[in-house]
Parts: sequence; structure tokens; C-alpha cells
Amino acid sequence: MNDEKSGVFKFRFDSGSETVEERKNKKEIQSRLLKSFSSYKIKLILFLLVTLLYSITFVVFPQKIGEIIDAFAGSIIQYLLGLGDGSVFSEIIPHAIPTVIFFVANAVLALVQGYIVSDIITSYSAKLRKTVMEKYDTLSVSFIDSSEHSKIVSAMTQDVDALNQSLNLILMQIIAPAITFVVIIITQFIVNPKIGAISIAFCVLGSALTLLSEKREKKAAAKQQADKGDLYSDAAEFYNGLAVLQNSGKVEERKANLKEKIRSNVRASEKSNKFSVLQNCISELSVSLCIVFSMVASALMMAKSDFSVGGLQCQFVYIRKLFSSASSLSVAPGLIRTAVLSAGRIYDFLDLECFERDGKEIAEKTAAPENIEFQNVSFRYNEESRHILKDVSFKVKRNGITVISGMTGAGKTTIIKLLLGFYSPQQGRILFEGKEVSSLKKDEYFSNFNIIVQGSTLFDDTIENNIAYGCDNVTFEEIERAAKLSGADEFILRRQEGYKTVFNSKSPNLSDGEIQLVLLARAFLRKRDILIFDEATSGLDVIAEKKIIEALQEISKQSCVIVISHRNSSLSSSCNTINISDSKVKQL
Amino acid sequence: MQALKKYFKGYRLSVFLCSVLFVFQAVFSLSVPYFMGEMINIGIQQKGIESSVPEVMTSQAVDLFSKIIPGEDADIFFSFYETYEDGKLYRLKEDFDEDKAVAVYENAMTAGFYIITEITQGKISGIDADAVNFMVDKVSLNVLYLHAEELSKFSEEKINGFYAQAKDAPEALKSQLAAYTISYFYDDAGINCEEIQQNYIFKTGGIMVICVVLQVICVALTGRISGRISAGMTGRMREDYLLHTSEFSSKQKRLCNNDLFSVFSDDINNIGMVINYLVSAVIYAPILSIGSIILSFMISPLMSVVVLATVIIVIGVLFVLYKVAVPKYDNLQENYSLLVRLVKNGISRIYTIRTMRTQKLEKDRFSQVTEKVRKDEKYVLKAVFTALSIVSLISNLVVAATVIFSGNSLLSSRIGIGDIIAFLQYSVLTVSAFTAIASVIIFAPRAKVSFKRFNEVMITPVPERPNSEGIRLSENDGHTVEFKNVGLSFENGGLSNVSFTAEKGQITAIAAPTGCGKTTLLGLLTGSGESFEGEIHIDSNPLEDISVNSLRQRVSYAFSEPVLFSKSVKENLLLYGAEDGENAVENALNAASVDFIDDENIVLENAGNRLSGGQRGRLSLAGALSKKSGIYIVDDCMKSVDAQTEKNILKSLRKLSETSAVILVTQRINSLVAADKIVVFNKNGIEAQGTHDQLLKTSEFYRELASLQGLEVAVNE
Repeated sequence: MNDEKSGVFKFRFDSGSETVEERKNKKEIQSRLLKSFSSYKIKLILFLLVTLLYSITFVVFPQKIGEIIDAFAGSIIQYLLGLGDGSVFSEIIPHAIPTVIFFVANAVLALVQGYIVSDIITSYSAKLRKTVMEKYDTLSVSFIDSSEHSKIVSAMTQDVDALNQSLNLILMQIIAPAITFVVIIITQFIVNPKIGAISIAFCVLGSALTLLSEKREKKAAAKQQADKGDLYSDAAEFYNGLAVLQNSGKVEERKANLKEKIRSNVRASEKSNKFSVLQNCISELSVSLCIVFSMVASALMMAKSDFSVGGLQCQFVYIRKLFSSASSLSVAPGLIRTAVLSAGRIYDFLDLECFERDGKEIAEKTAAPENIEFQNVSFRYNEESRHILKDVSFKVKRNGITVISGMTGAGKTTIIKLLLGFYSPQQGRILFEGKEVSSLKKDEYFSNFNIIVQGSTLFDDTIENNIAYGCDNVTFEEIERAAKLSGADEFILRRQEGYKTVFNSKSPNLSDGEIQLVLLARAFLRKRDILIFDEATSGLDVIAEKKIIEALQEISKQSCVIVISHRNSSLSSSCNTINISDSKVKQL
Repeated sequence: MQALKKYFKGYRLSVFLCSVLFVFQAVFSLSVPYFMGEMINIGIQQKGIESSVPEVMTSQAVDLFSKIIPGEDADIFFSFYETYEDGKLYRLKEDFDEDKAVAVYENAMTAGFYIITEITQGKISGIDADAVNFMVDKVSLNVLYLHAEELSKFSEEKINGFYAQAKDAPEALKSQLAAYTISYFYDDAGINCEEIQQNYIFKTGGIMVICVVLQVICVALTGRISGRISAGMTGRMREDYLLHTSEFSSKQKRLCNNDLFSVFSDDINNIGMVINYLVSAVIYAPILSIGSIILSFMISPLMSVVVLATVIIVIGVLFVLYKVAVPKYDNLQENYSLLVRLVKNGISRIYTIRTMRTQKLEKDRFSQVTEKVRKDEKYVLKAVFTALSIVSLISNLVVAATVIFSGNSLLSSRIGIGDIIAFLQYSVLTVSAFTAIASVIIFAPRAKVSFKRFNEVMITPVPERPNSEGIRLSENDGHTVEFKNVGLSFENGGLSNVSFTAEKGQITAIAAPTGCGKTTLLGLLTGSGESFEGEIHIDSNPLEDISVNSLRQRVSYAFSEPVLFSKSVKENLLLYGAEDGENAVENALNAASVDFIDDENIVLENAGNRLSGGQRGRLSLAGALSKKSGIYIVDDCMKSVDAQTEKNILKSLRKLSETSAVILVTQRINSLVAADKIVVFNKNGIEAQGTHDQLLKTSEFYRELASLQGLEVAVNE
């Protein structure tokens, strides 16, 4: 069992300071992330090109408008005097047509830019999801058992989503504005270096102030999030345990506590708001002051006829865009950090090396009355833990029902995990038709089993499809027959939509007993030599349990049934029983 | 919406203050472009001279003008001036009539223009930049001085004719000429125009800086106030909600049909966000646009129409975005949560999937949903990008259209280039204010649903407790409960004629099919407030006369669904009502056979979700047993415990029954056999009651229960 050792599934979290190693690691992730975009090379180049064109059209059209304004200013007098044949329009029209063309081109380019990004992002994340899913499929069951499920789920869903979001923002809020920013700055300096200098100065000033306030803002925001989480978990407990608290008269006490939390939450969000307002003010102040100073500077230049009104209008448009680009850029470090973190978690997942092993041999049916045999099996999950099974030997008969019983935690389910080859014993052998389970080819081996495990539930699909799950080409008649055999048809037909009733796992519309009857119907439909039924009746009421036992007895006529139960039911008296206690087995 | 109004009422003053500040914010932020316009009109075109008639003239200029202006007008005009510096200079009197003075001045300048044109006829050919400059120069005093001799040769009639012609000239021409020429008089009088101009530019710049500072102060204040309003209102809603729901029993939970916690957390959060938007962008955008429209109207009515049209178009685009993208966005959310569920289910069903070799099927399912998510995502992104492009195109086109096509109408009124610049800034500000509302749009439908849920909970009537002042049971009372012909009705079915007694010294077992309503029936004893027929007495007191607090003190209920808190085991029991003595906790843990916990200070992480169902059940039972009560109700807590544990717990219950009544809901035969009295229910009420042996004879359901659990043989023997 090397799986456990390599099954350390560490995740990256956002820590304030980073070590040299982490930084190196970060570089690695970044380069890997960039490499993963190589199949989008053409689209990315297209994106850059479109963005550049967009920026260029963007800097051109304010100039066109400026030219019109200047032409307009120049021709006002002629127009008023009625001099010149086409009056003012003859001056403006030549400028107007290209201007409108530039406007439309600019908008179309913005649109194309957006469409390229949505295309890249969505197909990238869909592909990544599939890759992650493929990876998940190769991971061994024992590894998945031993790791926290929520982390695997998060690697497959939230992390991909977070990466997706940040990539979108990186393209649209970092790369695109950066290009625009540079193009505008260059244009400003070419057109009028003085105003260019003013813009740069205020941009730097605004960014510096924002950076100064950022740390405190982040701290306040983090505090607010933490406060909120605290409030939520307390409230969840309050509402979950409301009946208990009412019964014990502790409602007032808990309520007072919650009220205090609500108030501190309000205070925290006010504080966090204070900093975001501050940042808002900084950006507002820097852009407006920049405009005012440019205005004054231009006016002084105009007084010396160094500058025109149209040029001024053009500068205003530049300044607004410049600042909106700059404020987008200010979120860049955060976005990149998020992207690297999510990507890091996904790569951690993709790098896991805990593969499910497969054998080569194929088991042939033997003449022996038993098909399954445990020979001196000892097993524990890892070296620190206790032995679940110690030198255990037993055989399971080919026909009828075999009950494996024992207290909670005695190792009944472990026997099944070993039998299916998802775990290997440290000592002893597990044989199926005389051959060691670990040497068998899984596809062939598993074709002998139907299994219903603890907490099995249905898919969010019709009952019909749930019964037919895993079977190809079955007719409705066959499904119906299987449901009848398991006794599920009775309640299915009582539903308005019958077999077309859709199961809803979020708010289950079938009772636990009914779910198990559907699962049993599946076992009837999908005829296999062996059915494993693992503690599925625990928690059911006696009547529901009876129905299931009847179904099991019915199914045992066609195959070997192994039932795992922690309680003596009516089954035990009539079947072969294997009792486990203190890592030992007693075959009755 | 009614309920939301109530919360706004509490913040009426703040909302009002915020709106007023928004008005100021709009005024200040619109003043910047306004002063820009002034700076261009006056600072550049009029060389910084604010007056629209010359404030100073040389005597030479007065002489010249008195020739151009006919008698009556000249008398009026020159009466506004007085001489100083020994008659070399004239200056405007303090109390001059501006309208009249401007009218005469404009006419005079226009007439002067015609005169020069007449004199210099033939010297100008074609229209180009030079020609324009020349023409403007032509009205300059120097030119007039230059041609003074020729002018004096003109007959008075001819000059009067020019003047009359000037009177009929277009207003715009006259105002432009006047604006262009005014600085010549200053030059003529030897005043440094450059300095005036610079002073004007700096002065206006200063005013603009003040406006910016005031505007930013307004931004800070409105941001703080709206932040306070939304945070405070969210807090207040939560407090009210908490107050309203803290006494909710199963009845209210059923009535309001919502998960109380998710309304408390996510829904109120959503509402808070919308409030935040409401008191910021949503109020500000209209205020700003009204301001823009007014200022544009001052420039020209046509301009205000343009702003109005822009606003309407932008709102229209946003509305279309709302209609198109929002449903898809909800779809996306749904598919995404389906994806998460698929992954989660895949992991929890890994044994089934791997052994059934259905990985490929699962992958296909996953791919299908991934594909759906991809398509929805793409659609939403594209819709947003499209809307943004359209909005930016519209705002750009407005700029172009204004500049290109309104020229003609603009010129018929008195506006300068500066006004056009100002107008362009107004429209940019307005469009950007409305674009800020776009984020509300994506959010609105969810907030609406959230608000509906919040409302549903808040209109669910709070349990009426007229009896909270009712009978108080002492610690020595409350050991007997008697149900007399009790009836309950609910959606599909009900119970009727339920009569039985549970008393001290006995374990009363209840054996009932699932879903027959026994939990609702027993819940009445915890003051659930559900309505029922018949009578229930505790000791001899009618249930409805007993104070609920007192009732809850005397009844301890172990729920069939275990409830644990993420606190230490001891704290859990304290929350269940254990007395804070070492023994109470320890005894209760022993009584409920909690043998898997060594230290009662161990914290149950995540409400104990790492424990097995049976273990959670036992801890929950320990909680109920830890409270000192007269009546203990144990509702099917033992369905997932093994036989030995069951035996231990039954032993504890037996001991407890010496001082209290114990009601044990169970279907398990070992528990039933251990009871003193068994009440067997069917779907409609009590089927039979008696001891185990009696019931084997009288109750079919009971016989079935027994036989199912392997007791058949025993009976037959």
C-alpha cells in the first residue's frame, strides 16, 4: 500500500509572507499556467492585436472630434457672414464621415475583443474541468477515501471557476487596459508633452495614495469577512438547534449573543466601507484634479495660440480613459495572486500519483461451493492505526444470503473494500474463484458484482433512468419487471409521474426505504452473480426494512447476496452469518 | 416592498441627507465642466475679459464710435461712461444699464465691421484661415483708426444705414463679433490683457479646484452615509428577524416554508447589497442626469433633448441586458450548482461507480453539464460585452452627433465653443453614472427572490403566547401527561381520538408507523402551538393554561434527528439545559451510553459531523437526559445503535422513570418489551394499547413488528 504515503494532498493557501521556495514555486506555476495557454496562441495573439487596434482607434477618434471642433470654431465667422458656399458643413463633413467610421470601428473592436475573451476563457475552463475529471478517474479509491472530499470537490469546481474568473479579469482588466494605457500615454506625449506630464503625475499620485491605503483596506475587508463567517456559523447553529434551545430555555441567552455579533458585524462592515470610500475619493480626486490642471495648462497655452479647443476636448477623453485604465491596473497583483493560488491547487491535484491499480488475470468460474475466500487476512489502514482485521479466514457460499455482522467500527465495510480490491491486506490472501483479487483485471472482475453501499442514493434523474443506470439497451418492460421484483413498483406507481418521477437529491422526494428499493430494482435488472448490500437498512423503520429483506430474499434466488448489518434482523437466523468482533471472525 | 419601506423609514433622515448631498455632489461635479466652458468662452475667446462691453475706452475710441453710432443710441451709450485721468480715458459707470449698453455695443461693432468691409472691398478673396483672421482683425480698432479718414468721408446717412443693417444682423454674429473685439479697447487703453487673461484662467482654475475638493468631500460623505444606511439596515433587519423567529416552532417553520438560516444569512445579505446600490448609484444617476439636462438646457434646449435621449437609450440597453442576460445567468448558476452536485455525488458514490464500471457514463454526464456551463457562461459574457459596447458607441455617437449636426441650431443662439466642450463633459458624466447602475441589474432578480423569502418569514405570525403568564408547574409537579380524545389534522391525514396516559414510574412506549404524526402530537408538549382537538392535561392542568416556559422546564425532548453544537461536549449539554454541576453532565453521558468520548471538554467540530449517526444520536439523547424534568420524551433516538447500547440506554431510562414519566417512541422490539405500557398507533390514531403480551394478541401491526424482528418463534412457543 504505497497509496497512502503518496496521498498527502496539501493545498496552497494565501499566506501573507512567502518564502524563497514558495516564490520559486510560484514562478513554476506561472510558467505552467502560461504554457497551458499555448493551444490558444492564435486567439491570444488575435486578442492582443484587436486590443491594440481598439486602443489606436480609441486615441484617434477624440482627435477627429477635436478637429471637427476646431474646424467649427474656425468657420463660425464665415458661416455667420454667409460667406463660403457650403458654410460650416463643408468644413465639417469631411471630418465627420471618418469620425463616425472610427466610432463604429472602435465599438466593433471592443465587441470582438470581448467575444474573443469569452471564447478563450470558457473553452479553457471547460477543457480544464475535463482534464481534472480525467485525473480524478485515475485516482485510487483508497486515496479518495483518505483525503478530504471537500478539497477534491473544490479542485474540480471552485478552483477552476476562480481561475477562470481571474483569467477573464487578467485579460480584460490588466492586459487590455495596460495596452490602452501605454497607447494613450504615448499619444499624449506626442500631441502635447505638457499635458502628458500632468496626466502621468496625477496617475502616479493617485496610485501611490491608493497603494498606501490598500493595506488597511484589505485588513478591514478581511476582518469583515471573518466577522461575517463568525456570525453565520453562530446563526446556523442557532436555527439548527432552535427547538433544543427553546426546550432548554436558552433562546434568550443565545439570542443576546447573536445580537452582539450582528452589531459587531455592522461595525465591521462600516469600517471596511470607510476604507473603500477613501479609495473611491482618492481616485475621484486624482482624475478630477488632473482634468482641472490640464484645463488650466491648456488655457494658458491657448492664450498663446499654442493649443486649440479641439485638442483640449481630445485630452479630456484621454485623461478619463487613462484613469479608468489605471484603476483597473491597480487590482492586478490581487488578481494574479488569486489565479496563481487556484492554479497551484489545481496543479497539485493533477500531479497526484495515486493511481488505481489493475491486474491482468481473468477469473473462471470454479466448481467449488464457495466463490470467495479470505485466507489469514490481516489489515490496518496505516501503520499508526490498530488492526481492523487480524488473521481472518472465512469463505462465502456461492448461493443464498451471507450476513456479515458486528458492532459499529468492527470492520465489516473494510471486508468489502478488501474484497473489491480497493485496498490490499498487509498479510494473507483474498481469493475470488481461486485467484487473488489483486491480480484480476478490474473490468472483468467487477462485472460479477452489484453493490449497494452505506448512504447510497439516487442520481437526480428519473426513477426509470436510475434503475437502468449502468445497463445499456434495456427496454421499459425490463425496468418495470425489475421494479416489480424489488417491490419498488408499488410506490412508483403511486406517484403522479410514475417511472418518470425525477429524484431530487437536494430535497429528497423519496424516503430512504424507497431509495433502496429502487437501488435493489437496479440489482434485479443488472443481473450479476454477487450482490453486496452494505448496512443500507440502518436507520430505516421496521416496515421499510421488511420490504427490503423480502426483496433481498427474492434476489438471492438468482445470485449470491452478501449483507452487512450491525444489528440482528430476521435475516440472520436463516442465513450464513459471519460475525466480526475484536478483529476476529466467527463463522456461524 | 411594504416591509422594506418600514426599514427605510428608520433611515429617513439619513436617506434625505444622502440625497441632498448627492444633489451637491452632482452640482459640484457638473460645475467643473461648466467652468471649463467659461474658461474657453471668456478666458480664451474674450481674453479673460468678463464684461460684455468695454469697461475702459480711450477718448480716441470714443470719438471714433460716436461717428458710427447714430445720435440717440450714442447718447444712451456714452451716458454710461465717465471720463477720468484728465479726459484721456473713459470708464464705465457703476450703475450702467447692461442690456442697453451691450445692444448698442454689438450693433456698433457689427456696423464697424460692415464699414470696413465696404472700405476694403475687393481685398478679400475666397475663404480660408487667413481670410478669417483678417476679418476678425478688420474690426480691430487699429484698422478703424487706419481708415478713419475714409470713414469721415462717409455721409451720415450711409453710416446710419450700416447701423440699421447691423441692428438686423443675426444675434449670433453680433455676439461673436462683440466677444472677439472687446480686448482691442483694453489694448488701446494700454492695459495688459495678457495679465487679465492669466488672472482669469488662474481664478477659474482655482474655483474648479475648490469644486473638485467639495465634490470629493460629498463623495466621501455620501459614501459613508450610504454605507452606514446599508450596513445599519442589514443589521436591523437581522435583529428584527432574529426577534421574530426565535420563538418559531415547527408550525411556523412549516407555514413560512423557508430555511430560517439561509434567509438570515444569504437573503438578508442580498437585500443589503441592493440597499447599498439603491442609496448610491440608483439615487445619484437620476440626480446627475437631471443636473446635466438643466445645464444643457441653459446652453440650448436641443442639447438637453440630446442628453435626455441618451439617458433613455442607455436605460433601454440596460433593460434589454436585464431581459436577455439575467435568465441565462440564473440558468448558469443552476447548471453550475448541478456540476458541483455531480462531483460531490460522484465522490460519495465512488464505490458504486467504480465497481459498476460506469466511469465513462459519469464522465459523459460531467462533460454534458460542463458544456452547458460553458455555453451559458459564454452567452452571459457576450451579452455583457455587447451591452457595454453599445453603451460606449451610443455615448460616442452622441458626442459626434452633437458636434456635427447641431452646429446649425447652435449658432442661432448665443453659445460659444466652450459651451460645446462643457456639454460633451455633461453627457460623458451622465452616461457613466447610468453605466454604474448596470451592476444592480444582474443582481436585481436574486434580490427580489431573497426579499420575497424574507417577507414570507416576517409575515408568518409569531406564536401567540397568551398563556406565557399561565400556570407555573413546580419542581414537584408535572409528572403525568394525559391525552384525552386528542385530534390533529394535517395535509394528508391526521390523528383522531388519541387517549392515553404517561406517568411517573412507567416507561410508556409508542409504536407507530413512520409519518403518522406522532412527532407532531408529542411536540405539543414542547409548546409547539399547533392546534389540536380534545384535551391534554399535565397533572390536572390543561396544557393551554400552563405557561410555556414552565412547560418547557418540565418536559425534556430528545429529537429523532440529533442536534449538536460546534462546542465542547459539556457546553452542548449545558445548552440542552443541564445544570452546571460536574455530575449532571457525567451522569447524562453515562445514561445515554456515550462511551466514545473520554473528555467532556472535547469540541465537536462542525456540529459533530465526523461522528456516526448512532453516536450523534446518543450525544443528543444525553443532552435531553441531562435536563432535570418531570417528563422525558425519547423520540426514536435508538434506530442506529447496536443491541448492547440499546440495552444500556433502556436501563438508564428505567432508572429515570422512577422519578419521571418516560415516553419512548420506537419500533424496536427490545425497547418495546422493556416498556411498562405500549401505545400502538396506526395511520389514523391509536390501534391498541397494553403490555407486550396483550398486544401480541390484540394488535396486528404490533404482531407484524414483532415477527419482523424475529420474535415470531418466541410467541409460538
